[in-house]
Amino acid sequence: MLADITLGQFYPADSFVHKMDPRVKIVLLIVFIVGIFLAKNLIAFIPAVLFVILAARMSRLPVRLLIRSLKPLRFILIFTFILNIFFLQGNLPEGQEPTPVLDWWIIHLTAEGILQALLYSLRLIVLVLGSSLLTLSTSPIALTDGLEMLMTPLKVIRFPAHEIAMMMSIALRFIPTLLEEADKIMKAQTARGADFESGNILKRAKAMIPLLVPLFVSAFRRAGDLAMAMEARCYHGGEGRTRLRVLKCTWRDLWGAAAAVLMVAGCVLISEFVHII
Amino acid sequence: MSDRRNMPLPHVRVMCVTAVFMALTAISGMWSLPVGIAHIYLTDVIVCIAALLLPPSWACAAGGLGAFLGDLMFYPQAMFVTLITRTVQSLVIGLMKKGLFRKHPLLRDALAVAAGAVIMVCGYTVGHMVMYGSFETTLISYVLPQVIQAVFGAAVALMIVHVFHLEKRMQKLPV
Repeated sequence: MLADITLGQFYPADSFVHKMDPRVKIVLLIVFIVGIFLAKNLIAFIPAVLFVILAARMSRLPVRLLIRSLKPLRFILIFTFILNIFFLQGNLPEGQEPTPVLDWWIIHLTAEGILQALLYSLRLIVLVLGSSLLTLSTSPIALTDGLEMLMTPLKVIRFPAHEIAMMMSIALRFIPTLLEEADKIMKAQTARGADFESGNILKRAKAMIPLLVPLFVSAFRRAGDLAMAMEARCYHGGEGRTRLRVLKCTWRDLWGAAAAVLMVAGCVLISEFVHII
Repeated sequence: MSDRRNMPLPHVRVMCVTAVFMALTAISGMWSLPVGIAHIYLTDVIVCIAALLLPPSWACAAGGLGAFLGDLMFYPQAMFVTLITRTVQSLVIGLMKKGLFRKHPLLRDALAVAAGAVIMVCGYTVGHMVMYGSFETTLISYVLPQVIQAVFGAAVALMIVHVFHLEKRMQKLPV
């Protein structure tokens, strides 16, 4: 049951985006996030939306997968939009009055506020789609490899980049094992009469203890076994280690970087020269 | 009799324990308790336990990077907020555990997880304010569930660590 769970959201495909270097994809996601936070109005979002559409097309990911990544957010999106229209007034230049849409009792809705609430919702949608594109097109192992390589320059300040990457790889390897273990413990405790499904919060919290304590003890045992196996094989850290997968930047990464730079420049320039809210 | 608890943990062993904690933190976002229309996730419990059991710098990796990995796989839009908030939370809990009232471990750990809970609530509130819009919206929709989650996580972690003597169990690892 739980052992069959897909690790992360990775969707294997043979595409331009899948073949890009994971390091570049991580940096591009950060640049993309910076870009969408620099977009100050709805028009300035056009380059970001175009960038996401282009990346989604080039990643050959099924559209339903991308839409599915928005599904858990639907309530948050609706709820924050409704709340935002009551609290936001729009970024108006000094001296300019907002355009009232509804003015009743303590409710003051303005056209600028509604546009700004729309902007925040759109920003969240674009942010989720951009992040999902990274996780859907890059395997977790490739992501940790990319993170390790990005952290490598920090070794100068004695940052343990190799250890961190090794721990992330071990953690990824352990996730299915621990999920299976948790499932087994849950079934065993249910057979003994434990009830994880009903009762108030205190009862449910209490019910989690027979799950968590054996899980921790078992996790410690596994960590001990792994440490012993690593020491028996003379593990001594990152010094002089070679890699199975060597990451290499190609022309695809250059195109990706150019597109991201254009997108950020577009967002900034449009925000600077076009004012709609 | 020599006290094994006072012995420095060997490097590889701490690394493996941290990695396992990282995995537990990453998957803990899949377990939740429904409270009204909100859900309390168990991530706080695991982050606090890791911070109470591991040395501060390793706790940062277990809490910060573990939660980051979890978000990267299941909820990527908040992954950077999570990375910063959880790292600071784990660091503060770890440092307070290392530096405060050595003679009163329960009081020390309670203060440490309480400080961690405050950091978690503040960190996510600021993160959500930036991501979702106004302060008022964040206050209404996120702060209360986060406070409940933080208090719940701190209390359950404290109980598990002290009632079930997890520290001693961890020290008994074979190496």
